[in-house]
Amino acid sequence: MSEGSNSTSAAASTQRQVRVQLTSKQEDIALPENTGPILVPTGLRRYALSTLVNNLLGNDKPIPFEFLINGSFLRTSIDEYLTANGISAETTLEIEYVRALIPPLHIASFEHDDWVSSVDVLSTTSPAASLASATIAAGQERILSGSYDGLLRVWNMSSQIVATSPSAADGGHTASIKAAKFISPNSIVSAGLDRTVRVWKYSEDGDGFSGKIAPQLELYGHKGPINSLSVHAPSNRILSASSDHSIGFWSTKKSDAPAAPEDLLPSAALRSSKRRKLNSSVTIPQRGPLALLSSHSAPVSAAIFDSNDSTVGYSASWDHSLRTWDLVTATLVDTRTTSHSLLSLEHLPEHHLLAAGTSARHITLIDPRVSATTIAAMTLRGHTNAVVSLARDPKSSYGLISGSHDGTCRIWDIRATKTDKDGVVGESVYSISRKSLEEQGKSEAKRIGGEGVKVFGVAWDGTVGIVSAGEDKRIQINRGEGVLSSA
Amino acid sequence: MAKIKKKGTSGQAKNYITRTQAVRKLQISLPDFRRLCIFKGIYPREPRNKKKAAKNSTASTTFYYTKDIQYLLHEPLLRKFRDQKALSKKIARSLGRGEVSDAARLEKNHAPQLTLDHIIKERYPTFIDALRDLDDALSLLFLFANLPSTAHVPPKTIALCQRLCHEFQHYLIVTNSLRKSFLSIKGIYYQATIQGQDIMWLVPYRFVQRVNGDVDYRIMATFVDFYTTLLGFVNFRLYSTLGLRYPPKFDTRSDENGAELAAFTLEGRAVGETTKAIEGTKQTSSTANKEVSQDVQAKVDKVIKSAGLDQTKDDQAVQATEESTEEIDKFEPAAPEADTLLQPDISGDTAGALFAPFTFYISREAPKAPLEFILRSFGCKRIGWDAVLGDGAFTHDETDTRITHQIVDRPALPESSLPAVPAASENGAGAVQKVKPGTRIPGRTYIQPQWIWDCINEGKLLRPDLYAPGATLPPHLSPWVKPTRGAYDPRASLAEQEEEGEAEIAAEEEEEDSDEEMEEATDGKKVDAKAEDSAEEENEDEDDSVDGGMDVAGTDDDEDESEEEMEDEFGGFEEEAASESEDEEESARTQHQKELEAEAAGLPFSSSSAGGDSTKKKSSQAKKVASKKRKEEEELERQKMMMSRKKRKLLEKMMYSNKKQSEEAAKLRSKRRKLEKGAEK
Repeated sequence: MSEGSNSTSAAASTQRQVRVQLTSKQEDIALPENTGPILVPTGLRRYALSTLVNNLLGNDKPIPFEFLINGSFLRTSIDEYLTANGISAETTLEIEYVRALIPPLHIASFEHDDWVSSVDVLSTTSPAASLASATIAAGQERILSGSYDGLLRVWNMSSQIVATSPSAADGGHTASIKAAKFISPNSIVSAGLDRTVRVWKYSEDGDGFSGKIAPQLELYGHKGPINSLSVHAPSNRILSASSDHSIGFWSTKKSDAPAAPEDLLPSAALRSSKRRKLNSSVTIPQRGPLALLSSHSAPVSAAIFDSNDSTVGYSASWDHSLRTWDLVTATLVDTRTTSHSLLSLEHLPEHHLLAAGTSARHITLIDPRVSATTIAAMTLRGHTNAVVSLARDPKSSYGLISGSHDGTCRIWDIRATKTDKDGVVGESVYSISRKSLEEQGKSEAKRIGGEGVKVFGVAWDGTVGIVSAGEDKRIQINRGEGVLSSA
Repeated sequence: MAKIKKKGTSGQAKNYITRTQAVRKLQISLPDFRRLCIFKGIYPREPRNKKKAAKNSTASTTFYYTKDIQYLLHEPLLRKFRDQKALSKKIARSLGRGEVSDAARLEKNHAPQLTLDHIIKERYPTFIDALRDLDDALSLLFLFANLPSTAHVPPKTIALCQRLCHEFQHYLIVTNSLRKSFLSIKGIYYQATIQGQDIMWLVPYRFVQRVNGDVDYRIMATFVDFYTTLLGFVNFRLYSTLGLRYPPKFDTRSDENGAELAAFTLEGRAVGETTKAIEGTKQTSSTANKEVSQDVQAKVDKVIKSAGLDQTKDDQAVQATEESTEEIDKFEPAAPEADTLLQPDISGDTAGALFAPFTFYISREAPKAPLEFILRSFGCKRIGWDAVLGDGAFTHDETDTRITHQIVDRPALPESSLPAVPAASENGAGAVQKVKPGTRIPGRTYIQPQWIWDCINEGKLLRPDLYAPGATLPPHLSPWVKPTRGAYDPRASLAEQEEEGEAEIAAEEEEEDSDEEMEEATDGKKVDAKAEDSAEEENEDEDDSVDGGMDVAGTDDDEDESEEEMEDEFGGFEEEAASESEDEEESARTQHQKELEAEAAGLPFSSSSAGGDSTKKKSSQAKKVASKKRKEEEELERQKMMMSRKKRKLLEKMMYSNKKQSEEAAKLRSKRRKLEKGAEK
């Protein structure tokens, strides 16, 4: 320090050096083992450090890196970081470097007639195709959207509708669709406010510009609107979460499924009332649930399969609880009670965590294992309204995207966390706002609670990118593209 | 006919057991019994009728509940105590035979280990219970952490206490849950709020403690055993609720260099528990080569040379992060008569932001440990101190330009030796490598340590000029004593709290006093008395306020003493005033008489009237106040007549205590008045 104090402060800041230990948790970008702490000038910023690491790794093509110090990304120079956090320049700084997120830029928006409640993607990397071991040619990816007008639409990447589901009169949904998913490249499942889960057969013409969505199966059993769906294609099983406080466990196969409960069929309602005949002219097989799991005391917002074990299901509910189910015996295994209503759910199998979006505007990461000492392992804060949709990063096991009623999608890295007085807290890495706002020239205007641009559904695919749908009646596609994307 | 009941088979005779009986029943020695009682939280009880409990024996003994002792019978620790006894017998036998190595082996290998874990679980079924009982534990452990090691207090115990205390302090720093602190004679009081529980403890000052023999360290050590186990569990729980690793990383080397708090590094539990191969190698490599390897460094330097040019360029805009401003809703009572909800006066966020923007420098003479703890728990990240005070500082360089506040605790030097105005020429002097003590470096605020304490107790930053080095400090008051109406408040000015006419009367008394004193010409004596008074007052203030906060009973003793002293001084005045107002007419008559007499004697008229003038003025003032008082009293008396007996009694009681309080306040006010007068002169 004596040399530093001798010179003036400006000179000192350029001359000052700090010892850093660069680490990484990914093998492919780790430095050689014998790299001990190194001395770097404190004036360095992210870019300089990234160049340095690339040089040390001997990469021909530079990989952009982000640097994590104590769980926060380095956004200033090291010197400013040290000053802000009161760390003496004499200590050894542990810096973890991770691959930088390429900013997902807006690619396209597909316009709808009504609010879009959910989206799903069919591509080579999407679960529907990969589990069926089908290959989708590049450029032949499909995007499925479920809309509040009760129609399913399948889009190709050049914003053309390939197929639309039939209307209510022809065996379609009689009310808004809340959830839609590809089961396999040629079958789709959807559910909505009309309390039915419908399985569709999806077929395309050879040219790939027109296709057909034909009803295959109607599943009855819920007494309330259905909020979300989850599919497990290899075992032909579906989970549905409904506002009638129950979770439906269904089969996509006609032969497996038991008969539908008579009293819930539309024909039963017809006989007793003089309602206008909404029933379709076509006859579709009607089936009931394999099991209805009920122990929640409030509407169930989401139900998902465990990513590794299809016999385990998780459900999140407005009653603040997250429940683990054994689907074979249809029994409740465990209940974890949090302090807020849970609105969405996603499994992070690598970390044994479940991410749940809450009405309290944050995402709670919950360890569902019985051995876990604390319920909430981490809290991700940043949204300004309820978090209603979650999806995993297809490329990184640490990444997560959330869609919220505040009109933004936020990308999170669960490595970027700080231990605060509220426990482990993370901040978002990147925030995607709605393009429709920008087009209206209101991007600057602060909307209270995302009025008019609420995000209802988000999907993240390795090939297509981030697809989000919302109240602005459109699907928005964002993808990280650019010179650096090849890394 | 009913069976005749035998004496001593039920009731108190059965419910109580004497200590001797208890010890005999448990078959352990008395010291072991004492320890066991401390661990289990069993204490002697006073029977309602001693004679009945002692079965007519008159010897004075201590009693325990029979049930309590019964409950001790199946305590796992009891077996440990017996094992210990057996072992000590074996050792004694070996020693008696001269088999020293045998004895050593026995002691080394067979000594039973006491674990108190189950007792903690038993005594504190919930975590909140443990938090509620933390006050004593913290006070004792902080005391032991500051004790010198002696034969009774092994250094290992002290080190353990220090570690636990520092870990606990770190939790408070992370959560910003320290709320208040107060410097008293006994030590520094701290109050923290953890999970809604207020915890208060006392930390002694770091003086050289003289350990004297009249303290039973064996008993203390038993408590320390118990409390260290308790605090260990509490710390673990507190850390794990935050997702922190426990125990935190402890750097022995920097601890030896006196880093204290800074020797600990808190780490969050990473989410990716799947420790990959790299992690393992990283661990080994970081331990293997702590030193910078030459070839890698050379490579790094080369890279930096080439890349270092564009370091000023911003490659990416800093993303605006939204501050989480979650304020607590204020609950206002809807109707004026509704219950008021107790509101937390300061939230963690505001506490965490109090000192956040500043860089402090603690001078050599200021107490580093408490200052560092308080500053850190109120959000200050950058604290520097002199290298003498130990490791772990943000900077050891006093001339660092980033420092915004410097805490000094030495008297200001005479004006001549200080740079009067931070002029440009003085800048050069300030940048000298070793700063001369007492020099001021421009661009920073110099304050005395009390500023920190007063700021955190107020919850806001106070004017630093009142706390400048050498300034007479404002009174440091206990944050736990709330000023009540009518009581003396040292913070408010005298004029604000004086009763009507009190000042005038006092001023007149003063005049009279001074006149008398002039006559007597004993000025020196008066000054002495004043000095004494002021000293006394300071002590008293401090005592009172602390005691009030800690709810300690029995503070009346010293107050009584002071009261007596005061009565000697002031009793006379009041009487005088009263009699004068009462016998106003009488005095008028005597005045008249005197005048007549004087006239008869042939004295000049003016002198006598002039002499009476001052007394008249004084008496008129007093008269006014007295008549007003009398009127009020009459009114009250009338109201009292209409009350029921019960209510009247209550009112009288209330008035009595109010009067006592106001008398007390008046006394303190008069003291202050005197002091202020003294200062003016």
